[in-house]
Amino acid sequence: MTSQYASFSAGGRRCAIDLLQIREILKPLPVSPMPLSGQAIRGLANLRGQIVTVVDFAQALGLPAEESPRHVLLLRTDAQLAQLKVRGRELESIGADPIGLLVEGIGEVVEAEQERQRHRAAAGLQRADGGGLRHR
Amino acid sequence: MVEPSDAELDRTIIEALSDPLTHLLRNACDHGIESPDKRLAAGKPADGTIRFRTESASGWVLIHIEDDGAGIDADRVGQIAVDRGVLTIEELSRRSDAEIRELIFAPGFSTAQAVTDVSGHGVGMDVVSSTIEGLGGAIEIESAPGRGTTFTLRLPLTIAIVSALVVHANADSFCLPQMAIEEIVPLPRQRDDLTRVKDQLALLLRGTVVPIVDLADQLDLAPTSPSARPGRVIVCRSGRHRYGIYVDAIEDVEEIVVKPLSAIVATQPCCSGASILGDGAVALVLDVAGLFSFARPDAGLAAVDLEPQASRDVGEQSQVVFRCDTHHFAVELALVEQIEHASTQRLHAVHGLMLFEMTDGTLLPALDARTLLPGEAAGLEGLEHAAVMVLSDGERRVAVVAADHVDIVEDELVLSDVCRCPFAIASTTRRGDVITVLDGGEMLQTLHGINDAPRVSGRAFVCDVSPILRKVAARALCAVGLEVVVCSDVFPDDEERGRAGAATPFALVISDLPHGTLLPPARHHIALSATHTGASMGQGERFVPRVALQQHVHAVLTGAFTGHAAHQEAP
Repeated sequence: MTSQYASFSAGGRRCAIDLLQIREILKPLPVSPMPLSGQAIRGLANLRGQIVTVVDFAQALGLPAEESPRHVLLLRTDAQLAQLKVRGRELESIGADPIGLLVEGIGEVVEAEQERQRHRAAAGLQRADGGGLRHR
Repeated sequence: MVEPSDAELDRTIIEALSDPLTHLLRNACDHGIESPDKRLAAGKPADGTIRFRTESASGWVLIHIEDDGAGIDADRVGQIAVDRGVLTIEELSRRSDAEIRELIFAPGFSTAQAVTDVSGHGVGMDVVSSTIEGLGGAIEIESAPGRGTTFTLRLPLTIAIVSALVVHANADSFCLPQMAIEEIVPLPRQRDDLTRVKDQLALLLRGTVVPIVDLADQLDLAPTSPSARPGRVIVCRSGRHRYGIYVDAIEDVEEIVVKPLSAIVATQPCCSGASILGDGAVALVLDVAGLFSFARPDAGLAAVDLEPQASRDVGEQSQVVFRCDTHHFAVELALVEQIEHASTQRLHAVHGLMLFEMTDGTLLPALDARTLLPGEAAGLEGLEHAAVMVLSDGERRVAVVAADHVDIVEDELVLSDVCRCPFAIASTTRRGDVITVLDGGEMLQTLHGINDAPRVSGRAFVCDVSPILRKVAARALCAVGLEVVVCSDVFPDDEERGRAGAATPFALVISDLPHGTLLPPARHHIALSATHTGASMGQGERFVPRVALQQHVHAVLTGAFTGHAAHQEAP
C-alpha cells in the first residue's frame, strides 16, 4: 500500500515522515533550555500556550547539531495519533504536549510504498514520535 | 457505591473523565456483573456491587472502579483476539493472563456476547484507554475470575494550578512550588558569604548548617559572568531533609499551571513539569525532592548530624524584663520557672538571708533585686505585693523579688559591656530604658553558696549564635580559671580565624554546632545543650547551666569524665 510522506532534510540527509504524523510546520521558536537532558533536546518552547519539546533531529540521529535549522516539524504525540485513528477526527489533547523536530529544510510530499516496517529513528525518540521512516 | 474521598483533580481533567468513567461503569454493569441466577449459583448475593474509590498517592490520583462480577476471562479474551486477527495463536501463547486482559484496550474489541442498550455501542475500551493516556495518565486492570474486576485510573495531579516562586539562575527562569519553601534568605554580598563544609556549600542559618545546592551549577547552566552574584538562598524542605537552593534572583510569585513534561525529557530528575509564565516564557518547575536526591547536598556533610539541630532555630534568647524603682533588669526566660504576683507576707528574713515561701511551703533563697541597685536600697516595706520570679536550672531554685515584672522581650538585644552591678552580664536599651541583663546561673550558684567551683586551666573556645549565651558561658568558664575565646559564629572571617587559631590548640570547644566540621581543633568538644540537667527546657529556649557546666568541664579536663553523652573526643 502507498502512503504519503513529507520529505525533509536534517544533518545533510534526506528523510521522510508519515504525513499523518505531522501536526504543523513552523519556523524555529525561541526555546528555554532543558537541563540534564539528552544533547538533542534543544529545550521547551511556548506555542500558543502549549509547551513543545524541541528536538534537534540531526543530533538525535547521532549527526552533528543542525547549524541553521529553518523549520520545526510539530509531530502529533502517540496519544493524539491513537485518538486520530479511533475517531477519525482530532481530539483536544490536554496532557502530553507535542514534540517539535528541528530540521534543516522541508521538501515535497512523496508517495511511497511502505516496503519496510517503520524503523526506529533514535533511541531517545522512540516513544515520542512513534518512529520516523527514513527514506532515501 | 461511591466512597467519599478528599482527592482533588483539575477541572479540565474531571470534564475529560466523564466519558471514560461512564463507559467503565456501563461495562461493569453489563459485562462485569452476572445475571442474578448466575450470581446465586456462584454463592454471591443476587445484587452486584460496583464501588467507586479514589485516593491520592505521591503526585497521582487513583480512581478505582471495582465490581464483584465474573471477572475477565483471559482465555475468552485470547480466543476473541485470535478470532478478530488482533494476534496469532503463537503470539497469544507467549502472553501472560494479565497481558491478555490488556487486549481489551485494543481497537475494535468487544467481548460482550449480547449487545444491550446499555453497552456495546462499538466505542470500546480503546477510547477509554486513549483518553486517559491523553490526560497523561494510565489505566490498569486487575481481575480475578469469578470474583470481580478492578479498573484503576492513574491520573497526574500535575495539571494543577499551584502557587510558585519564579526564580532566576543565570538567564533562565524556574518555578519553585511554594508548598516546599520554608524561608528565603537574602545574602548580604555575594555567594562567598556561604561557607564551605567539606567541599559542600553551606549556609549557617541561626546556628544550623543548611547545605546549599547552587541551581546554576547543578543544572549545568551556561555561566553568565563569574563575578559577584548577589543571590538568595531558598530554604526548602524535602521530607526529613532541609536544604537551600541558591538562585540569582527572585522574580515573582505566580499562579502557574503545571504541565507534565514530554516523555523524552521526563527522565531527568530535577524538574517535575513545565509552565508558561505570564510573559510567555517557558519555565521548568523544580522538583524539590528530586533535586535533593540528584545533588545530594548532604553527602559532604555526612559527618554532620543535622537532625538534632532542627529544634535549635532560635538565635536570640527571650528575656524576662522586670522593674525596680526606675531600673530595669532582664533575666533569661529559659531559666524562669514561674512568675508570681505574691504577697510580701511570703518573704521572710532569717539570719540575714531572705527566703521566699512557695505555695507548697518550700522555702527558696530569695534575692531582692533592689539590693543590686547602687546607693541606698529601699526595703520592701510599704509594698503589699511584689513580682517574684523563680529561677531554676533543673537542680536548684532561687526567687528574685522585684517591684513588678514588665514583659518578655524576644528581640535580639544589642548588648554593651557597660554595667556595674553584681550578676550583671551586659546592658542594653529598649524603648529608652536601660536594661541590665543578669546572669541567672550565677545567682543560682551564689545564693546556694556554691562558691568552691573546681579550678582548671587552659584555653576554651565558645561559639554560639546567641550573644547572651556566649557571655554567660564565657563567664562560667572564666570563673573556673579558663582562658576563653568567644566567637559569634563559626569563624565568620579570616581575622577572627587567625586570632583564634594562632595560639596553642584549645583544650575545649563549647558549642552546639556540629562537632568537627567548622570548629577549631580541640581536645574536647562539649555541646551546651547536653549539659542540661533539667527537663524543663522549652523548644528553642536554651540556657547555660552554670554549675553543671563548670562541674562537667572540670570532669572532662581532669579526665574524670568518661561518658559520651555530652562530650566527644576530637579526632
